Formats: sequence, structure tokens, C-alpha cells
Amino acid sequence: MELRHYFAILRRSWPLVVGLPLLVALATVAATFLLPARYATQVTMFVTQKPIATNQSSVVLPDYNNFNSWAASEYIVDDMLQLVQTQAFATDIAGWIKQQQNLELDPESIRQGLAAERTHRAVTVEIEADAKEHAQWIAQGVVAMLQEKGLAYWNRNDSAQLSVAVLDQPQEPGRAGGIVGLALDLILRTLLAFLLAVGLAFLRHYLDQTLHQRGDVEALGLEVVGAIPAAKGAKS
Amino acid sequence: MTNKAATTTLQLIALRDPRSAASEAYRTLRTNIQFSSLDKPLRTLLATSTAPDEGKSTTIANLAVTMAQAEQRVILVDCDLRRPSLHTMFGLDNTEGLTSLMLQESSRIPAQPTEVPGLLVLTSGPLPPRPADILGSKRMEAVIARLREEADIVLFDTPPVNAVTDAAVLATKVDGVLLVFRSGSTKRDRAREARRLLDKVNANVVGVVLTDVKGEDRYSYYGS
Repeated sequence: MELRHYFAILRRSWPLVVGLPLLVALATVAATFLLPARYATQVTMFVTQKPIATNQSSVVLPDYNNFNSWAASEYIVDDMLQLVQTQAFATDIAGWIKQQQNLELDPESIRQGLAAERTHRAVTVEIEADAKEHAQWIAQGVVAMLQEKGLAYWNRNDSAQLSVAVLDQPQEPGRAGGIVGLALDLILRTLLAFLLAVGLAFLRHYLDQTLHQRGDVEALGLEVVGAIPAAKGAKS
Repeated sequence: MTNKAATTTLQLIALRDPRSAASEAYRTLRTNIQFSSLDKPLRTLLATSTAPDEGKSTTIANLAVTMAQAEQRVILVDCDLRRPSLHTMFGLDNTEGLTSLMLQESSRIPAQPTEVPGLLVLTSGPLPPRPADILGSKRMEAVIARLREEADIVLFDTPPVNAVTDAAVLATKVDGVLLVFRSGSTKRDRAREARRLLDKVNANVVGVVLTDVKGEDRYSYYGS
């Protein structure tokens, strides 16, 4: 099949190929401006397990202690990605905000607005909320809960403790996504809609039982002796 | 210009706009038909389709025009005795035509001249109750023989072969049959059925004319 044949298939369904991506693009832009705004901020920190303090002078394990601390920190950071999305963590943050600001936030809403990613041992928690202040308080609550409860989330109430070193304090929350986010979202959605439209155009062609080109007629074992170009009003 | 006149102008594009891509396509069709059977030239040719509105009457009328423009004596006969259209297309009177010739023992063929030198149109005339009986009659064979004497080529416009039997009946009495399919409209199964119906009566299917084809105007710059 020649490339121009593919093009002819797409041209026959041009309202779909052009219209669907256009519709999706318009819907994306409209949704961005019509739906309630979300605000986002983030906090980056090192979360490690503190070396276990020991005053047993007879035991000399400094190297093992440090080693174990860093090794345990790896597991802790791994688990952090799940921890920040748990209901328990969100409930604790909601309680902390209630205590600090006398403001009640829905734990489920907090949970849905939290996500974390790690780079080596640095953890970045991304926070989204309906209001700038909420995002700011939730960010502070994330740090506070890790500092306060620490390894209690792992049910480790022994002598081990978490060390939370905040690298980047939460910034003034901005509109989630921003212009770059909107542009990327728009491009991605439009591209996906275009690919879907192309797929539908080929499906339509596959299911189409009508004759379009010489090749379609010749495939029926008939010779084409003439092909008259389209002209308005030519009917009989 | 009235709507009717405008439609007629568009339909007879080979006459109104001989430099258009469509006119060139009709001339190519004329050439292909002429060379399709060199050993036994086609003297009578019928056009039919699978369904109404596939461009059959427009095609046969424009083909007639291009053949006449090539200095052939052409008689175009409207054998669509159910929905005749050639008289409208050429702006002719239809009180007398093929059916008049069939029903009366007249020696005169009531074919009417057109503004194209060499092209006569025999309109349908008054519509009969049973067109297939008339077209399949011995009298029709005699009429065709007479028309052959009067022209270099006789072209027949007929109803869709899938819809009624008229075209299949007449196909046995002519030298060749042109099938007219409309791009984007004619269904594959209907096209196969048309072929089967014509094969069944041993018709000589010369080929297919595909009308309303997108992207077939690539030579238009050459003429306009």
C-alpha cells in the first residue's frame, strides 16, 4: 500500500482527524480555566535513620552503627513513597493542622494531593490543595509528622529515630501545572486525540464497504475505463 | 441562470467547460472505450449502475458529447423508462421519444438534435406501465438496428441493474455495457451483484467508470 493511499484514507476522514484533536484541545483549555484552581508546592528533604546512640563503652561498633544507619535509611526512603500516600499519614497531618491552625481539612483530600519521589536519598514530597494556605500547611505538616512520629509509622518504637533534614523549604504555592504544565498537558492530550482519530479513520476505512479508488474496483475483477473527478451537482 | 439550468450546465461539463479536468476525463474514457475492442468496434453501448444517483446519466451524456465532438454521429437514447433525465439535461421536449417509436409504426426516428453537432438525443417519451417488456421486445431489437444505421455509435441510458431488470434485458442486445460506480457511495457487494447479474445474461462488460473521484484532477492545470 502506498503512502498516498494512507493519506487518502486520512483525507476521507478529515473531519475526524482534525476535529477530534481540536475538540480535545479546546476541552483541555476550557477545563483549565473553568475548573477550580489547584495550588501546588513541594518540600525536599533527606530522611535518614539516626545512628543508635550507645553508652556501652565496652561495645565498640561505630563503623557498624553508621553502616546500619545508612542501610536502614535506604529502606526508609523507599518506603516513604508509599507512606505519604497512606490514610494514616494524611489523618495525622489533618490533626496537626487542626491543632496548629484550628482548621479542619479532609484527610482523604490531603491524601489525594500528596505524592513523593526520590532521587538517591533525597525525597521530594509534592503537595496539591484547593487553596494556597492549605498547600503550605500540609507541606509543613508533612515535615512535622515525620519529625514527630518518625519510625512509629514503621511500628519501631525502640531507640531508633528518624532524622529529617529539610533541603528546600516549601515555596509559596503556585497554580498546579502552570503555563508549562498546561502546554505539556495540551500537547499530550491533543497528540493522543490525534492518534486516536487516525486509528478511528483506519478502522472506518477497514469497515467501509464502499468503493473509493480504482484499486477498490480492480480488486473486484473489473477494469476501470474511466475515473471522473468530483464535480458538484453531477447526479443521476 | 436558474438552478435547473445551472445543474444542467454542471452535468454537461464536457460541453460547457471542455478544458476542465472532468472533460479531459471523459475524453480519456472515450479513447479507452474506442480502444477496448479494436477487432470489433462497439456500435451500441449501454450505461447502468447499481443504484440511483451514481452518475450514470451524467456520464453517458458527457461521453456522448465528447464522441460527437470527435466528429462521430452519436445517438443517445434514454432507456430509463422509470426516471428519465436526459431530456432535462439537454433541455428537450419529452412528449415524443423511444416509447412513441416502439408503439407506433412510424418510420421517423423522433431523435432531437442538440447544440452539439452530430449528437441526437432520443428521449424516453411517455412512460409505459411495463418498461422491461418493452425493452426486451423484438420491436426493441428492430429499433436498435435502425439506430445503428443512423449513427456511428448509439448510447443507452438505463435504470440501475440491481434495482430493476431493464438494464439486464437490454444488455443482451448491445455490444457493450459500461458500469458506473460512484466513489464513496457504491457498495462492494452491490458492485459484485451488478457484475453477477450482467454475467448471467452474458453481457459484454466493457469496464467501470468511477465517478466523483477525489484527487483525480491532477491534470487540470494543463487545460485551465
